[in-house]
Amino acid sequence: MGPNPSRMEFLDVPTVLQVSALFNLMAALAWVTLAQAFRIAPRASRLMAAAHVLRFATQDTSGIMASWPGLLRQATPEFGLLGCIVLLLLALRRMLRSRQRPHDIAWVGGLGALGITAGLAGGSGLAAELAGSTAVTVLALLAVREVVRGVGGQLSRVVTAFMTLPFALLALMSLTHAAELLLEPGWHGHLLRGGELPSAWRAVLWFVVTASITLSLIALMIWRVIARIQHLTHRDPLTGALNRRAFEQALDNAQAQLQRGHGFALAMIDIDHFKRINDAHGHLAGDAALQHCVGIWQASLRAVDSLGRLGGEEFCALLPLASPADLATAAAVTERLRAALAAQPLLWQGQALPLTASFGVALPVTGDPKGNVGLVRADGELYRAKAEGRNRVCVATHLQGAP
Amino acid sequence: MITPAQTLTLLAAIIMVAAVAALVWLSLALVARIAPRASLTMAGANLATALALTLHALRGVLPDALTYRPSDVLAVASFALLSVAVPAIVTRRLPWQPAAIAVAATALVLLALPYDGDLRWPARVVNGMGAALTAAAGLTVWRQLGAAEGRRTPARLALPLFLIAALMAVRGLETFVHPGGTPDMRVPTMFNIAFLWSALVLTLLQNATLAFLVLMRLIRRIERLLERDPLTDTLNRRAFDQALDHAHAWLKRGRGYALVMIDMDRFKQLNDSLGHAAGDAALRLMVLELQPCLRAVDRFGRLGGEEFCVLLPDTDIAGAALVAERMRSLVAAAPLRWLEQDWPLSASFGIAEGERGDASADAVLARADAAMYRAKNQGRNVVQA
Repeated sequence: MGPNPSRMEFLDVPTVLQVSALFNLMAALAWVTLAQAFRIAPRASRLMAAAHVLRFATQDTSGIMASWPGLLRQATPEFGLLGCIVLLLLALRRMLRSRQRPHDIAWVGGLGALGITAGLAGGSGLAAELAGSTAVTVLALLAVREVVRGVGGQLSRVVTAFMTLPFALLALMSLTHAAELLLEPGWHGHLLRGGELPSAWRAVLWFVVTASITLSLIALMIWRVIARIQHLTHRDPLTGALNRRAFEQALDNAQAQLQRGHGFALAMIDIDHFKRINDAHGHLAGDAALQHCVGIWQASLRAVDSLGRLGGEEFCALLPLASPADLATAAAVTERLRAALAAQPLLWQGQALPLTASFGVALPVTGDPKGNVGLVRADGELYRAKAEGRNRVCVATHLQGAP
Repeated sequence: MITPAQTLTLLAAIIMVAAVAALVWLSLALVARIAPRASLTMAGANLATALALTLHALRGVLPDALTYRPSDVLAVASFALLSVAVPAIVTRRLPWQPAAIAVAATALVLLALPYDGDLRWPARVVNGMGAALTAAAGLTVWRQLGAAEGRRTPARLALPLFLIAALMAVRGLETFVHPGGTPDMRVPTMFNIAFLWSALVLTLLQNATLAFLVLMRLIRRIERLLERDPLTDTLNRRAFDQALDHAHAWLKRGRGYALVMIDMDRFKQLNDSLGHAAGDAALRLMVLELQPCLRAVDRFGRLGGEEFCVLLPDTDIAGAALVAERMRSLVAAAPLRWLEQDWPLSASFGIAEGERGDASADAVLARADAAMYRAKNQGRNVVQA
């Protein structure tokens, strides 16, 4: 098995293990520092620190364990590794903000621990190792699934692949190890193993896996920080709708797509009598009303639509259309927004405040990079809706493309 | 008993750590686009380290023309790149010229030195240069971090650079202490083992410290986004309210404060006739004009629309009146230049002082607001208490 040992001859296995231990120690320190200095993912960082400390404490690097009784000598690294992967998986879930409860981790970890205990109690070191390796394989595969679920779709496939690679490698290594054990002759009656050193290539591989898992988790953390910055720069902090700059950006993009035949409609929205709510119930009620409206509209909009806050109580929805001049669909979507808001009053301090809004829908024109013509038309329809008595949708009757 | 395998393993470990670090910095620069120039330089520094050590480890295996002088020049280059990258992350400038000159000069000296048998002089040059470059970078970072009064990025983050400088200096000096020794890192001596372990720790530490500084920069950006108004860069409503509550809490312990409420005159008219962009420019101009009136302890916030408020700690109503009057004249003296035309700007000011009887800061804010409305009613462009 493995590469020709003579090729790895220049490596000193105890030194590799010591380097690995140093790395675990420094990684634990780094995670503790991260948890203290940034409050981005403190619990995940502490779990990672614990995982590294556990690995550091249960890996024999200087032959100290050689003098320990056989049972302890074998149990320590087996339980240590299993516990380390369990902590790692818990940290990963926290880092990715998974809502899944840790039942599956507890089951796999518990069964693995049970297998190790049973193997050791039965005097078979190989059986214990086999149970440990199997559990680690399953946990590593769970980690792969976790990363794919957590970041999949939000990051490019290459980046996602790179982030799952360390966990896949860990699964592969444990699986290979388990297969090796199964193939070893006469493992049924195998006694507890001595404290022999792993081969050089295995020691190196372990070091690589440890280091790359740490890097993968740090990458996930940086990704979370960047995502937060993007959210903050693109969203209106009060309502979570796109801010004016981000909406203008989306409109620019949509206008560019319009040249290629991808149509869209603009729905200008203004909450009716918003000033009255502010004056009668205070600014906090006004803020709550804005949040209430955006919450309802976001739920009624499709994933492709974008809703932006242009200022004050004025919003605009950008509605991509399947066919360029499909005003009917745009009108239907907008009518849904109007009806949804009218049906759900805002609950403010035990009081139901009815809220309505007026809507103006219009199509954009080509050759207008900033989309101003469409906005002005939608704004005109909005004024018409206000003038006709509010709480209604007015749709422009201009033909698309006519200036 | 020290075996050659031990030094070689440690060399391999440092090479691997440096190579992986180079990849990480490269992806930070190219994929995540975080501090791209500094990250690329850091990737270069790690790559040069990995290459220099690889060539050093392969002395005797590859041709000497590749493994001696190029290895030493790459080592100096890696120190030079490091000495550029670390200050670049802290100061956001890339002072590459002195480092480039240092590398070129060292390369010339190494070309002139004979590489036959006794390699102690090249080793002294390389290690001395490495120590000098990293120590200089350490001093820059130390001063910069110390000046920034950052409570979360203390000056001791420059420490790894000084440790690297010390390590290289020790390695250079060792050639004087042990005249018979050879600067080859593969020779299994106690000194080499200690040196390589230290080098491994410092490689990890330096990269981690720098990554920490980069992350800190990102966090700063988040904090700024959370507490600043994006248009004018003044505090947003939430952050200002927090500062105000804080000041009001101090009032009970005898530290007074005053508020200056500021509302731009005829803002809606300006918006309607010149457009939103002009309105935004006018707000920015006003904020810029008011900056000279503010001390470091003052807090300037945008309460919404064209309404701003300044919190002046340790100031009474008379002091606030002086500040507000100065602000009024500054704003009135700086018209907005828009499409080749001057549009006169002015603002109305209301001042109020925090009093012990005030239940909360809102009462003071309401008084300042009422004063500001009186100023509006008096014909605008005035200060009212």
